[in-house]
Formats: sequence, C-alpha cells, structure tokens
Amino acid sequence: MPEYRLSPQPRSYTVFRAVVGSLVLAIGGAVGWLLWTWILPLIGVDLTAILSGLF
Amino acid sequence: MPYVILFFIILALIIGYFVLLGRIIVFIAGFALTPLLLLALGASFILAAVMPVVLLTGSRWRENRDRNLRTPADVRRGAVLGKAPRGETAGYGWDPAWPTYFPYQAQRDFAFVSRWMWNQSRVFFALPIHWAKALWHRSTGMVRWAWWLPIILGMLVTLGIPSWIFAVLVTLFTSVFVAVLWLVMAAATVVSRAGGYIYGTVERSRRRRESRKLTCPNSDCYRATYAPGYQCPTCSKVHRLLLPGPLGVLRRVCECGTGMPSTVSRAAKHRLTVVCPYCDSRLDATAGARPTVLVPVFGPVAAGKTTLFANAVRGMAMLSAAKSGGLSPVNQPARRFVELAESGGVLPKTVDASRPDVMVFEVSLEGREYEVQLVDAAGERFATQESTDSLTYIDASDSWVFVLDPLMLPEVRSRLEEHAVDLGPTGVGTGDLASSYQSVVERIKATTGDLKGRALAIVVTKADLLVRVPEWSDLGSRESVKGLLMETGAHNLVKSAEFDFGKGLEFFASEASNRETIDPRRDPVRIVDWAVARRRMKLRFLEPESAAPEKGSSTSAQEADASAQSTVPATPVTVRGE
Repeated sequence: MPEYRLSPQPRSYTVFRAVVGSLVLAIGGAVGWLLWTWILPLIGVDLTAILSGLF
Repeated sequence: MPYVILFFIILALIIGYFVLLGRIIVFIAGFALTPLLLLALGASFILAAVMPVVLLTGSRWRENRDRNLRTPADVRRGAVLGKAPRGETAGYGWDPAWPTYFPYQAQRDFAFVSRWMWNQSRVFFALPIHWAKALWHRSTGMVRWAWWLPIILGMLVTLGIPSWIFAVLVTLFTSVFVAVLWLVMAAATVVSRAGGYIYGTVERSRRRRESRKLTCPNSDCYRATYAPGYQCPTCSKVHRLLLPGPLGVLRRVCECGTGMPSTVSRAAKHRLTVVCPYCDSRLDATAGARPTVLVPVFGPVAAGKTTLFANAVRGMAMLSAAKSGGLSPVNQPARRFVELAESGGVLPKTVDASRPDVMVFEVSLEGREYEVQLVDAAGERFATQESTDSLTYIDASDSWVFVLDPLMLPEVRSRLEEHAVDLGPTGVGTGDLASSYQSVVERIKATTGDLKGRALAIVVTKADLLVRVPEWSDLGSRESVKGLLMETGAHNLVKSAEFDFGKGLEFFASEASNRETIDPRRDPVRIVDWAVARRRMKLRFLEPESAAPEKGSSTSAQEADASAQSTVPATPVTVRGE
C-alpha cells in the first residue's frame, strides 16, 4: 500500500462535510425530540414515565 | 442401595441447581431487560445520528476519506465528469481543477458513510454469539456444562436479546439516517447545480450582451470566444473554460490547491493572466474582459484601407480625449501603427502578409473601457477567394468594411477631370473591385453558409476629392454615397451587396482632412461607430448623423489639401510602455 499523504483537497470539502454531518445530526435530534415528546406518547408510550419509574 | 440414594441426592442437587439458576436468570432478566431495551433504543438512535458527522469530519477517518477522493487527475481522465466538456474547448478536455463537492465528492463520502454504518449493524448482530463463543471456550468438561452453560444462557437472555434488539434498531435507524444523509446531499446537489446553471447563464448572457469577446490577436489563431482562458497564478496551468459548473460554482480550486474565480468577469478583475483557449498565447490581462469590437477591412490594392484606419485611430484618440477619455495601443502591431501614423507623411503600402496582425486599442470613454481591434491586410490578399484562405480573422467578425476607391471608377475620374480637380500625390487603387468584393463574400458564404444577420459597410474613400465636384459636394449620407456609386458604374457591385446583405448593408464616405476641418458625415470614425453599434456596445465617438452639427462640408473640404488623403495630421496618441 502506498504511503499515505495528505491530499491538497479544497477546504470547501471539509466545510461541506461538517455542514452535511451537522445537518443530519440536527435533523436526527429534531426527529428524536419529536418522537420522545409527541409521537410515542401519542401511541401510549411515555418514555419519560418509564424512565422515572425505573430510576 | 446406598448408590441409588446417592444418585437421587445428586440428581436433586443438580435439578435444584438449575432451578435456582433459572430463578436467578429470570429475576435478573426481569430486572434488567427493560432498562437494557431502553438503553438499546437510545444508544442505537444516538449512534445512527452521530456517526455520519463523526465519519465525515473525524480525523480518525481522514485517511479513509482521502482514499475515496475524486481528484483533478480523475476529472482529466474523464472518470468523474465524462470524457470532455461540451462546446468549443471539448478537444482540450477538462480543466485541471477539483470537482465541486456536490455531487461528485459527496457521492463518494455517502458511499463511505453508508457502507461503514451497514457493516457496523452486521457486527452488532453477531456480537452476542461472539460473546457466547468466547465464554464457551474458556473451560472444558463438567465446569463448562455445569457452570459456563448457564452463564451463557443467562447472558444470551439478559444481554443477547437487548443486543439483537439493539442491532435491529441500529439497522433501522441507520436506514433512516442514511436516507436523511442522501436527502441532504441530493438537496445540496440540486441547489449547487441550479446555482451553477443560473450564475453561468447570467454570466454568459451578460458577456454576450456587452460584447465582452476575446478575439485572439495572434496571427496564427484569430479565433474568437466569449470564454477566454486564464492561467493559475500559482502553477500557471491553463483553465480554458472559466464558467460556473461542475468545477466550481462560486470559485474553483486549481489542481495545485489555489483558489480561482469561477467566472471570466471576476478573473479579469483579479488581473489573472489571460490565455487564448485555442492557441495558448498569453494576452493582455484585460483581453476578453472589456466590450470588444473587431473591424476587419478589405478592398483592392491602394484603395485607402491603411489611411482610413490611420485617420480613424487619430479621430478616436481626439474624440475620446475630448470626453476625458483616451485611446492607447495595447499590442505591438498597434504601437507600430500609431508610431507610423504619428510620423506623418505618406503611409507606406501594407506588407502583403498571409496572416496580418490584429491591432488592439484600448479606449476609455465616460468611465468605461472598451477594446477596438483593427485588421488591415494588403489588397493583394483579396484578389481571389483562395488568396483569402489564410485571413481567418474574417470569420471572427459578423460585420465587415469594404473599402472602395472611387478613383478606380472611370466615370468618377472623368467627372473629376471635367471639374479640374487636381489629384495631387493621391494614389489610385488597382485591381478589380468586383473580385475584391467577391473574394471575401464568397469566403464568408463558404464558411458560414449564408449572410443572414451579417453586415457590410461600403466605404468610399478619398471623399475630400469627390466633394469638389458640385453635384457631390453634399456627399456623406447613405443615399448620397449609394447614389454616387449607382451613377458612376458601380451599380452591379451595389446590387450584389444589397442582394447579399439586405438591410445589413450600409454606405459611408470617408475623407482624410484635418480633424479641425473634417465633415462629421465623412469622418472615418463613423465607420468604427457603425461597427460598435452592430455589437450593441455603449461606446459612441460621434453624435448620430441626424444630430451631427452641419459643417460647411464643401467649403471645408475644398480647403483641405488633397494630399492629406495619404497623410495623417499629428495629434498624440497615448503609447503605453512595453
């Protein structure tokens, strides 16, 4: 395998990767929050109540 | 008997042991299963949400990412954007630049992230089996069966089931987040492509509208394009197609890592080195950046083409200077021409070169900058269609100037003699008028197919002699020039030109008097203005003919020395340093 050498790739690649990754994380966080606080309680699964019952 | 009792005691102990173990397992399972399941749910969600950003930005995965890079070398060999760009520069392949992140590198990054996450999901499925195998192989014999087997069973119930559920959830959430990643990248690709398309279209149409065209002055090239090439300021590699697109929307990055503008307009503002995209000639930094007009003339030998240009250059310099502007030669042929014109006296005959030079002049007027390109070839070149083969600059324009020496018409000569007009040292054109005209027009037809949308100006030179004949004293308007030609034996030429160019045909008269006495209707600069107007540029040296002040045309012209036809009055033209 050839020796690894850092390629002089555009800085925009790094920026776009960070932006895309953060966006996915933000969308995931928003979906998770919606599930936890709204969708799951709507179908009778209250995770907050279950967790407080456990601990 | 005692053995039987002993057997039953051992059996009872074993059963008791397993019952006890079972109760312990059930107790632990009942206590631990719910929290572990909840833990699996939360952990799998967080893992699937966090891993894309970690994989895309974490330094631990930099090497993996870099191994998936789509480099300018990949672009050049056609593995990323296809074999070659469309359009004029297709033959040169893609420029040495990095492709835009969306979608070219994003596709590779997406493949890397999704592959890693799917593989990790599979690993979680196999994890409990892996743990069970590890425990099973810790010992042998009775210990394995009596001690580790129940432990393994307990582990599979308490940890294995949550692990498998965790694996299932990770797979589920991986699907969701990989889909989200794809959607984000697809949306960004749509935005990037739409942005590139809109920006590119605006840039292209603006350059066309403003005639910001590069006509290569290299006599071996003469090609014209709206998209000049530029050299990278660091590695000097040539970028031939600087337009928003797959190699950069707002900016592009050269193979060497240097950032460059993505448009010709911005590259020109940064004063990058201009390169002809066809012949690689290095040009003036402003070439192709300014509204440009090319004025090619043709006509018989000694018709007055060079004199016409010399007086036009002189006139443009004076008129632009009067409006707080200026005219300066940009390239060596233009500088030589200006020096020649400034030296005064009779201009030498143009050398019969197969590839005449394009003289490039920079004009600044009313706060704007323009480029005027004049091409003067020796009359011998226009003898036949074959002899014009090397004059490829003709193809770069859509309007031409045919210089006609009226002294070549016998009827004109006899009228002048009738009115005792002394020709002085004025030379008379030689050759055949019709051949000169046909040589170029047939060439244009052969190249472009037809003359639709093309224009021709027929310029009658030496008008300062003609106006001494009373009936031609008011020569200058389109009708008067056309009328003169019709009644002096050039009607066939006029009819041919009308047939060829239709509404694109214009008539001018040109005199070579001093600037102070010249009749504006016969000013050679008016021909440049006509060519400029054809390109819809804002440059205007003279007022429109209807608004031009009436001057004592015949009187002033008669006062002018006939010998001025071949001489150039001295008015300084800015000559820039080498």
